[in-house]
Amino acid sequence: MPEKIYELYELNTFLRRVLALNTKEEMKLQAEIAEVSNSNGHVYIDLVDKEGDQIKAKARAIIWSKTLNRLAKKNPNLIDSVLQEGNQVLMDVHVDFHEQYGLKLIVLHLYPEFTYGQHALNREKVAQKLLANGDFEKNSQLPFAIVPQRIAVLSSKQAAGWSDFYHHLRYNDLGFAFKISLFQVALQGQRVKQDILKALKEIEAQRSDFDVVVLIRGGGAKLDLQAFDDYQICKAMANTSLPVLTGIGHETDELLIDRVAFRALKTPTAVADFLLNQCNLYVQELGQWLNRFKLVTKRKLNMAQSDLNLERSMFANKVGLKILDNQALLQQTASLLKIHTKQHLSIHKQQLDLYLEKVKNIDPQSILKQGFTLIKYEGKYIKDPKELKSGDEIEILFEQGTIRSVIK
Amino acid sequence: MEVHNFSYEETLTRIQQVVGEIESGTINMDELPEKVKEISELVNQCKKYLQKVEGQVDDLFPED
Repeated sequence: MPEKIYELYELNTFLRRVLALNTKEEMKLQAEIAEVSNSNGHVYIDLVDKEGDQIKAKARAIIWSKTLNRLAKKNPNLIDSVLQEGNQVLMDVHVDFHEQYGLKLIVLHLYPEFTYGQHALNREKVAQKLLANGDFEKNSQLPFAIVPQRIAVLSSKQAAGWSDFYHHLRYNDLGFAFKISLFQVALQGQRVKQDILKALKEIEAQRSDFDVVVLIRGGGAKLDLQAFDDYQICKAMANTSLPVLTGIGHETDELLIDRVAFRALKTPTAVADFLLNQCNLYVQELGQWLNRFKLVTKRKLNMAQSDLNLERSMFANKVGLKILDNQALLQQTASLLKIHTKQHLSIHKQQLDLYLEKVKNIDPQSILKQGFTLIKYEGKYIKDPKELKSGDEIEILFEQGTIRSVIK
Repeated sequence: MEVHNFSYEETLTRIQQVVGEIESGTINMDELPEKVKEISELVNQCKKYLQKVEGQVDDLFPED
């Protein structure tokens, strides 16, 4: 009996029937995502099953846009958190075989909890490894710059967190200046790991230009955080020679990268505040030192001043004494002068009195008072008797009157 | 009555001159009352002057 030769269509129709008959309408499938792509709202996924690095099986799955919308309603982060390369997924699929397009797995339902669980398991393994190497302590034990002003930022220009962070620092109310250098990295998708590792290497090469490394993301939709639990990234962060601050902007469980960082803060703005606060603390400390300096200086000045005052009052005393001495001398001189002057004046007075007395004594009236008499002839006092002859009528002046008489 | 351009020394010389004349007896008796009057006035002026100087001395060097 000659062998039957199938036409391809005939064979494919046969296969379709066999598959349809032997597979359930819905089957639960666990696999790893090798690649994800989008087209016309549908998501195409390459699923693999691996043993080590070896691919044992491979198949293409598709989530129709209708299904995707239904699933996304329940879990808006589905694409970001579950449908990523490397994730293990659990899904309900319908095995479809089409004569023209071949085998396809139609995804009917996704179980994100399974993927999260896988993440948690994976994270636990990474955490154990990091713990064993002491990687959680390494960065946090680094010295932190007293005034952290030169900042290497790992972020994406498109990230809302980056502009929050940049503006918060750049236009801070305290007036601090910062040198902010952005190292562009992808924060989602396949490139996160390689970008971050590369950026850390670059920063390390010019580490003397920076005080601190900042990893920020934040804002917008909740994104794929898996990279931040990655062993290599965490290890590289832990072994960076500069302190790393994180502001990933997530509210859920702790990320391993936060645990290896010098300090994990909730948001990019919080990181900026942390840096500002560090600078401000230093300024306050400076202020305290300045106050102490002022106080000490003031005390010193006061001491010098009181010394000076003492000197001055001593000098004033000496001068005062000198003045008193001189005043006494002057007083003495003045009183001597006074006494001498008065003596001199009184001598003159006495002399004047003497003159007066002399004149008085010669006054004819005073002569008369003493009992003498004066003789007048024709109104003139007579000093010589020869001036008179017989018959002249004279006046004899007494104190108490006059007598007329004729010379014989 | 203040005397303008009063000079103690000149006044004193004048007094001494008149007193000298009186003492030497060369003075005319008729002029005597006039002279006595002049001398007593001049002596008064000089005394006033001395009083004024004394007052000034007291003002300038007050007793304290």
